[in-house]
Amino acid sequence: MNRRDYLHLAALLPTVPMLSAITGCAASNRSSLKPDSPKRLVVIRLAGGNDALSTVVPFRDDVYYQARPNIALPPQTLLKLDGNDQGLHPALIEFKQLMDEGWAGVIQNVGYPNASRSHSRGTQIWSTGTTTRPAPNSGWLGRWADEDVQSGLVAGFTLGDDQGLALQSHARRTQMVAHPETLRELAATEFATNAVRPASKLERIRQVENHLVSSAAQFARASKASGNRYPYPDTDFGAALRWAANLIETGSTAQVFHVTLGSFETGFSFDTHLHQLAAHESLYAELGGGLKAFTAQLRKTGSWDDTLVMTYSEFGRQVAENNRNGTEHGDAGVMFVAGGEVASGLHGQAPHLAEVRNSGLKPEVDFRGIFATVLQQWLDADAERILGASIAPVPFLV
Amino acid sequence: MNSLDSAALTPELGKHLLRRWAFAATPDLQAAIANKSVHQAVDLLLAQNIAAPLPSTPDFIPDTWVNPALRLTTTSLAELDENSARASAQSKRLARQVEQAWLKELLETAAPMRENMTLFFHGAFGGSYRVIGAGKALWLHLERLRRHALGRIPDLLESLVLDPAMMIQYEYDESRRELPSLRAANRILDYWLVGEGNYSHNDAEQLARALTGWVLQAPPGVTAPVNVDPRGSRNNRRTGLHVAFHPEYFDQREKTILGLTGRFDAPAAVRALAMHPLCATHYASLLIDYFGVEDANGRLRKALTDTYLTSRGDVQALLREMAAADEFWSDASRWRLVKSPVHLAVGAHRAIGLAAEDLSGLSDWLKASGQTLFDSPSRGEQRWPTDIGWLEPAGRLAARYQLGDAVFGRQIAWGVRTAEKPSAQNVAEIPAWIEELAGLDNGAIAMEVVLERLDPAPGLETDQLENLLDSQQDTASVITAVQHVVSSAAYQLA
Repeated sequence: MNRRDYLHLAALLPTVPMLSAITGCAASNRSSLKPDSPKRLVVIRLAGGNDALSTVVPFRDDVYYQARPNIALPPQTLLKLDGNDQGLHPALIEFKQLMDEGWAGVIQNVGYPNASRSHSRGTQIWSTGTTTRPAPNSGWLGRWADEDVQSGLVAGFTLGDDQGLALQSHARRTQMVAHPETLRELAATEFATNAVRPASKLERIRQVENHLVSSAAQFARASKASGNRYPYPDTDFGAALRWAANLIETGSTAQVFHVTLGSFETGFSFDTHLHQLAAHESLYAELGGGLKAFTAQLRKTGSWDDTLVMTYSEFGRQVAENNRNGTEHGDAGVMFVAGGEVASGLHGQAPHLAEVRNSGLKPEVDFRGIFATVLQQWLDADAERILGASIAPVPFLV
Repeated sequence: MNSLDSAALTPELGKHLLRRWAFAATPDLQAAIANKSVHQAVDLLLAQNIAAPLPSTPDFIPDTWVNPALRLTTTSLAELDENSARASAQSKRLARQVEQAWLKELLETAAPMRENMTLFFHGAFGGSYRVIGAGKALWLHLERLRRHALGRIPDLLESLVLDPAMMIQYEYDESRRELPSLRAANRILDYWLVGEGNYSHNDAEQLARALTGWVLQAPPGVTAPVNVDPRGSRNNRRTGLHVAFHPEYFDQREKTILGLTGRFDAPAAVRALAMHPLCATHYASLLIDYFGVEDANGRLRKALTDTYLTSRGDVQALLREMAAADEFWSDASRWRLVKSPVHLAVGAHRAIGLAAEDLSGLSDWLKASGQTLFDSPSRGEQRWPTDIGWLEPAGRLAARYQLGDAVFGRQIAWGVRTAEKPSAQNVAEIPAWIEELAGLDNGAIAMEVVLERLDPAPGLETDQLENLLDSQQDTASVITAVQHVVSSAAYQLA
């Protein structure tokens, strides 16, 4: 089955469980084709709680228009998906192009039972990959990195100011890089390598220094990659995505990258309690534009088939609009996925707007099942050990 | 008392004292304590700091704070959104101005110990402009910390409980007996009084009841609007920063907190608890951590606890006790403390003798290094780290290594974007000692002077310095040598 054949078939598949019956085997076969190429994962946090119904709009559902008299998107503005009663937000035009080319998809109704509607707790649950309390002080991808504690190599970078927990690693195999330029400059600095006295504290600083220096060399190499030739958005998100692509292009030891779109600091985030239409117009364009440039760079430089991109957001939003042209915190949401081995198109059915819980969308797909797929089928890791539970993978890979 | 108490301090030990207490061993301070015993040096430093005048209120602090985000019954939602956005922008701007006013004082002050203890208390209590909002409240808070920095801790705490910034940060500026603020009580017990894990839930509940009755409102003589919309959040309903007691909101019943019983109101409760032995131990521990003293067997902690109780929380007595302790001077304590970003930057400026000109670059550097004044972690909910905690995440060290550039005014591309900013050096005035070294035809002496001035920990690799200071050095190469020292692993330690 070639990619196009598969995509044609996948488009006919209405639900995730049916998709799984076909894709489970295919994914493992594809993964074994190029055993020497490291798989890359780029995780994008959509900060603030993205609204599923503005991402994929159920334009034939009257409940949607009744619930949102002021902020519903008119059917004629939407990016229609063939044979589907749902359409993408018009600002996702570049993301839609990736879908049409067979490189991207959207997984619907993702969440977990009794979802938290708190930003901090919701983010903590998604970042740690578990709802248990007390929450672990490592992220789900940090624990993946910790599986190989013997390796001295950096396994992941969190790029940007948002110092999320997803890559937090006990074995310090991941780094948070808020200011790549400062790290890059370290590569040009000569550091002492001899042990000195007094050993203890100065040596500890030198250890941190040495740890940074290996990353600094990677950032120095990455700064010479081809990213500037691609039209990334001129934003922190665009810059972080460009760094990720440049690092991948230049053979970074890091396999996982975490970037954030939306900021509570600037007040411009997916937390759209007010002025939702204007915020989405900009944020979705930034997301789609960034992913398009990222895809183009990695396809050109030969890493696209080994790269998987996925988004997450701490919760979805409520079905009904509020009285300020926005929406309140809800439950289930959507995840954007993209990559050389992603099954493109919509995954899962349109949400049942009549079956809401406290006005939030009902979760149909457990986010931990998606994490299990990523760990098991993409990163070739023991998902049960890392997630602390046996969770059925949710297939979305070819 | 230790053997140093009567003997003269060696230059090395004198520098240790100054690094820890006064940010840097500047030539003038070294000269002032030369040939003095510990006892004499401490007396002299304390006297100098107490005599120094307190900074006056800057012009940008308004006499009366007017809430730009006030929500009246006539305010439309669109106006409210607009006003809230304006209030947020104003708060950020003023917070930056207050931060820079404090930075200027830190760089230029004749009272570095007072400022250091002010910083100690700021870090111990936490707080963020993102929550507090009003720049005037930040300034009043800073003034309060500074006024009590070398005074008695119970006086500070009693005063702090009616501090608008803290009342807003901890959410008890409208605390009524029917809805006491347990959150505020927990934070006060955690951060001001006895520390986490040293009290019961019941103690917190009882303290929360004592905190009731105090309200921030419009000051006397200013008429507050009568149509404030009760649907607004507290930030949208606050009419002023004047602290007023409303007996009808106060829970007058008896309270028992950590074994102390009385009909406490907020100041009385905090004052009583501030003399609790657990509070004494709490501050003993915080001081030992902040000043980086190795106290392996807990002797100093016990001694400071006793001193706190007998001196009624006198900061000067506590500092004297610390200076009298062998632990403070031991090899295990010297060169073991990772400087906070503020200590690193202020120490470098004061040691080099740079004037406090445009401080925006320094603010940016501090943010990148993880320490923005008036913005402690998690929107002010957490305290600053200490020691090696400043190097988490590891990328902070990369930012710290840019200090050499930042102090000499080179703009740095902070953030994730890579667009290069101009990298011109914008030093307003090159310190005279650097100019003198540039004309010296002896590289070895030049290096000795640079190291004496900057005072890095032993272990600095000097190869690069030898190349820069080779008898042919000019001003640029001396500056580069200074930057090299400031941006080294050895300079991270005090």
